[in-house]
Amino acid sequence: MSTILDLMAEQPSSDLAHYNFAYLDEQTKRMIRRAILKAIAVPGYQVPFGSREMPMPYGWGTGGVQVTASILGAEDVLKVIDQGADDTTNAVSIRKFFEHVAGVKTTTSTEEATVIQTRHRIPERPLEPGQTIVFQVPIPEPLRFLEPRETETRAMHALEEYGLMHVKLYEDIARHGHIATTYAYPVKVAGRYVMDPSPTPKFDNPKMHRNAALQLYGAGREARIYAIPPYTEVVSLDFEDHPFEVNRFDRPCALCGAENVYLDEVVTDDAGGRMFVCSDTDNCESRRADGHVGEMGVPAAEAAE
Amino acid sequence: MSLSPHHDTNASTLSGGFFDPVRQAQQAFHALMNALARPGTVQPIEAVEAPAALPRLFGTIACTLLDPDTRLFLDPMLAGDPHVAEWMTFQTGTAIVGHESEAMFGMISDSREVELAAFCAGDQAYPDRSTTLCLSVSSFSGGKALRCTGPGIETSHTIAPAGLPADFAEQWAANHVLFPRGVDLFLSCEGEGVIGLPRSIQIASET
Repeated sequence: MSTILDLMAEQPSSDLAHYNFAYLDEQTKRMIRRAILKAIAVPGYQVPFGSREMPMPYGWGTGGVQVTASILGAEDVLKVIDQGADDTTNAVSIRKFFEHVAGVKTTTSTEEATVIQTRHRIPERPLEPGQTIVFQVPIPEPLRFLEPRETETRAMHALEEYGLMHVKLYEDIARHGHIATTYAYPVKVAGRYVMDPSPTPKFDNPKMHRNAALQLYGAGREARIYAIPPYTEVVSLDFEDHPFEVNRFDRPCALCGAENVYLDEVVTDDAGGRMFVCSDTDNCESRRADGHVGEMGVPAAEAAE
Repeated sequence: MSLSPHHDTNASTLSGGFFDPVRQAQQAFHALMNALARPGTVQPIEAVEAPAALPRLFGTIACTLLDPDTRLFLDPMLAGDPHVAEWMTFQTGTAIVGHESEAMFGMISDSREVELAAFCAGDQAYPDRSTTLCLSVSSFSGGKALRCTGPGIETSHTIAPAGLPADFAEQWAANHVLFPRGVDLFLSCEGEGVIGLPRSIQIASET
């Protein structure tokens, strides 16, 4: 079965089907760029934009892809992660897409990247000034499951009326004894807008606060772009007596021994065997290359043999 | 020099703009994006050929952000020169509007006279429907010291652009208090680049 990338690769570059740099036409990029500028000026506010059809289905990160396509330059180095991993389907196909339509250099290293597109995690390694992280967002409206009408949620944002969100968190506590929301955990940006950080595990919420990198969020199906400028206050909503807490893991990564990182559970056999490994593959690989070994890992030199 | 503006249209309006639109627009946008994301920092930006009356960095910003979907306001000095409007229309296709409050973008070549409140601050529900103003300043130093704090700034950043209105800090306070409504500024200085001042930041004059 041929994929869209195969079909595109079959076209000789001089043929009629010639793509503009980074796929989108310049008029579309200008429209998205204007939306990005407004998004940066009003942190956390969802700017409507004319989302385009992309050569991949909605739900595959079309919002993030459009934002990335609009900011990407020939000199940029792109990293794409799906959860924390560089090597899963979504990450690989989007990385290939941009290699093909923009010819940019790609990397799996967080340090080397100038633009990082993510679904949905934030790398463990602290981001640096000058880096931009682009989030693929499925549902940008944090109030949508509480109030289905766009006209109403828009008025609620306009009036800074976020009581309903606190009621939702309170109901969590009433039912479960604690705030049971573990991803897409609502945040307040720069003291004004309540924002959905996309289905990022709440473990990563503290990384959004005063991050040195520019954070851009693109929702393709819902046609919204929003942003958090560097060093912006991002507060996870909570209560005085039920403060925000991140997930804790009771063991380190089985491969690299890292503590205080987000772990994935991997089932290893059909007899209940399992291991917990770093979700951030780049972080895990660079730690192992530096000689860190977890309880189920093997030293880097041995693994290479 | 011909008396009718139509006779010398070609020479001034067809020349200039981007010669490599895809690359140049991306580079200029990158600078503008970083300028707004890191308020107060000077972001270098390439100047394009433009009519003599138009600050050349306005030309770059126009070629980067304007198209038939935008509405541009030109200050009386720029609007007074037919070459500028002709160049804008030919190079970008933008509509040119006569009133500040209708503008998505405003270009002000004499920044000392600018009145931020005259421009569109957007709607409380749609704060993105506001004017982005480009102000040309003579220098990024030598003016009144202005201390910027807020999103995009780690602690604080002090700028001192020359050629802003005397009451700029008061005008800005009136603009910032409207948040999330308000106008966003790009200060441009030939040979230097742009400084972005988004509505989200606070600016206080230092004494």
